Amino acid sequence: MKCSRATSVLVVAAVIVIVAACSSSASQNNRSSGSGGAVSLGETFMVSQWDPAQSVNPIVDFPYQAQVYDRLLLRQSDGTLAPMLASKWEVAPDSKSITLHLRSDVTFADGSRLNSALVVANLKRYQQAKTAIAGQLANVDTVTAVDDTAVRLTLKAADPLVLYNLSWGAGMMVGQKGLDDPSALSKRPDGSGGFVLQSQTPSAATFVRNASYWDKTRTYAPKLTINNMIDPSARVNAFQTGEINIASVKLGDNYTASKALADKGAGKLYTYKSNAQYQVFLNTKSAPLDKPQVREALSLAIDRSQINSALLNGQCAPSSSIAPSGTVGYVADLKPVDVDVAQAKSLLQSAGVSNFTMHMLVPSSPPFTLIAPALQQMFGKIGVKVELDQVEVQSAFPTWTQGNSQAMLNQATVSVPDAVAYAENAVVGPNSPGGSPADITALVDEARPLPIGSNQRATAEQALTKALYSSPLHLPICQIPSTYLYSEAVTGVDNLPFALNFDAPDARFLNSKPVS
Amino acid sequence: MSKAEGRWTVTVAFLLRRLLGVVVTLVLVSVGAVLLIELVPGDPAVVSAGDFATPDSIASARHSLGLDKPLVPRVFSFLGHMLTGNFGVSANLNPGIPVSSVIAEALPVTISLVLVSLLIAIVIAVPVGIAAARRPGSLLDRGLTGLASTFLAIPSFVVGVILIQVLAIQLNWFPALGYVSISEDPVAWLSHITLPSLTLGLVSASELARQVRSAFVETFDQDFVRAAEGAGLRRRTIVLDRALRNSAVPILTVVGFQVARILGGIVIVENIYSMPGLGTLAYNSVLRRDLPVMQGVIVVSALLVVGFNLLVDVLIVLVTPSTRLQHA
Repeated sequence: MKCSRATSVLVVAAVIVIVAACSSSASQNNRSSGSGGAVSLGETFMVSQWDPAQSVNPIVDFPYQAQVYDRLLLRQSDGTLAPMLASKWEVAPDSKSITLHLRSDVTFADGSRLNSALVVANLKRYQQAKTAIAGQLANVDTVTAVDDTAVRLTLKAADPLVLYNLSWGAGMMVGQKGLDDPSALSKRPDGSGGFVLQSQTPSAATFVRNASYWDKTRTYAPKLTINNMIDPSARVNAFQTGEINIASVKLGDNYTASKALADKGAGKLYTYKSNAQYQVFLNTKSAPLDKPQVREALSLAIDRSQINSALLNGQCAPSSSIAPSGTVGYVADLKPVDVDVAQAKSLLQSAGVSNFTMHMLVPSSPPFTLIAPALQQMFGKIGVKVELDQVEVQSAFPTWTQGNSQAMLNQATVSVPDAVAYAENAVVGPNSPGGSPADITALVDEARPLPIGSNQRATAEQALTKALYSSPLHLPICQIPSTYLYSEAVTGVDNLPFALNFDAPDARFLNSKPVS
Repeated sequence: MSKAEGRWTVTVAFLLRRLLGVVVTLVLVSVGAVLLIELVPGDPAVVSAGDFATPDSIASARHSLGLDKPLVPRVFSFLGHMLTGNFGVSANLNPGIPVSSVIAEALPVTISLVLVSLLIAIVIAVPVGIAAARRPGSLLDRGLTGLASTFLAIPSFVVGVILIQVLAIQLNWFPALGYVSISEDPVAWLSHITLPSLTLGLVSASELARQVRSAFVETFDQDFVRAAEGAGLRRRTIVLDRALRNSAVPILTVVGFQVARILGGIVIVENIYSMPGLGTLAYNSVLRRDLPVMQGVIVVSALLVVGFNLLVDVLIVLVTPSTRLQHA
């Protein structure tokens, strides 16, 4: 009697564990073998809300919102623009107005149809938003409906780069019901995209194919799940157990583990050389960083190759140019500056600088916490003492733009693969608290209004790139890769819009072959 | 007054004193939550305003976070709102969404995790502690005590990584991460909660087992146990009916401490297993400087700890003789 009761308890406990384990194995097997085209992506953050106008961190929300909201223009995986809700567009010869011609076969989730009045309402709403999205349309003066299917944007100053902003945040079009009820919109999207939000938990959003989507030229996955997995190791673990079939990979241990899986055939890796670069930002208002020789000396002290090979898995291509490969303004002849301690010391001497201590803001997360001590050592070799001031990642740029810091190690990210876009952000814009010399500003002003894709623009931007290479304002270090670990069944990994820019891709073109 | 009425009066008085202590603790924690924000480096309004913030949007963020008010009115305002469960709205994790809704979504995950971890800890610790206590100093006792000490020395995240590697990745017995609600699928819920609960429960079991062992060693040495043995009662009856009741109070007290310990471990464990509970919410709110959510999580976490400990106090009352209760 005594034995049978204890035995019964043990048997029940064992059955529960076995059922739970079998349930897990079965569901994982279903996920990876019988799902018939489902894609499950492991990403870093979760969407905060579905109203683009209320997104406080638009880059974080974009991978999710991009599935349900089409944009006026499509940013392709190579950075070029293509038609989307606007079937064609015209930029005036003086680049001071843009006319968009809209598709007539687009319907939103609420049943409303795309027309110029809806586009005007959307754009005006973004202009008046109290979030970052308003900045994307800062140069837009007026938005008017030309007719039922055409919209004209008049610009305050000639700047065709506005088109790029119509291919992400400010280009996302919301249906009429969503515009009428922003409170409901924040919880439930009202878009016309290739996917419809099926369900959402705090850690994942699941989308299903929009059966009435206007684009019949592509095959979209029947189901797409984007999972919030902050911990990079958790993403790799989830990939190994089949819970996700594509994961974003970060440099460091995460990359090493992912590469090991790829090497033994348990997955594949695809890397984009993004437009983002690790960079030391310098405050040119702060002496002696106002002297070009000092900035050049600091650049010569950085051993970019060693940082790449020792700290960044050899995946971060060294760069000394503001326009890395794939960016308009890229100059292939501008090789990464070789380290030259002697020359650097000589430059400092000619500038009359000795015993210089520089305070550098450092975001308190890898790989910045790895790169910073290496830079400290490298600058120390030329006699520049560096004090590292660690700050929260989220605080770094806000602290830097207040203009009280001398230097900052961070990521130079541009939303557009264009040297002028970089310059507007980091040279003449808020991320250069010391401002820029008149000649550089003039080069930016000269390139800005020129037509996108024109030889004129490319030539003008190359001039800007060369000027900042020979006399740097900031110190690019290397080109950050955007890497994905994916299973063999997943297709379209080489066609991820925005993988070049934010490492927050648009996953709409991913698909998955059913595994037999 | 009859004996039963007397016990009832003493019990009520005891619990009322504990309840008052709970209220005072929560008030102090809430004040601490507001003051803690003052100690956080940097300007929360700047971070809250997000990328590409303008001076206007920073000022607007400062106003909506209440940071433009002096400290003392802010403390009283927070206390007043807290009484109605109003922690404001999320600043940038889920902009515009009430903090209470955000926390309500995360709470069931963490409560599941805490309860199952505690259950695992008790189910392991009690038999192990009793087995060790039956023959103090024996090989079994030393072996079990050594094993408990080893697990106590291992950080919970190391245990978690090992469990994931072996049971999830190598053997594919359990999922490596995620959470499914029990109402959605009880079996999937159990499957997802097992590894994280083991991660937290094993470490707690180690500490609890040592406490159980100590309590039972002392109890087994009591005259009434020897008398019961002499009277021919079975060992099992002595342990379960007599010794357990007498050892219950210190064991229950340590169980209460384990709740705080388990709650302290949820930040790391929920992140390792990508579970959308209070721990992940706490981590994200700190990362994204979402002050209202941070404050809400601090208060709710404190409420969980004091709530569980109040429950432990009730259980202690039920098992404690009234004379001891009077002195307490």
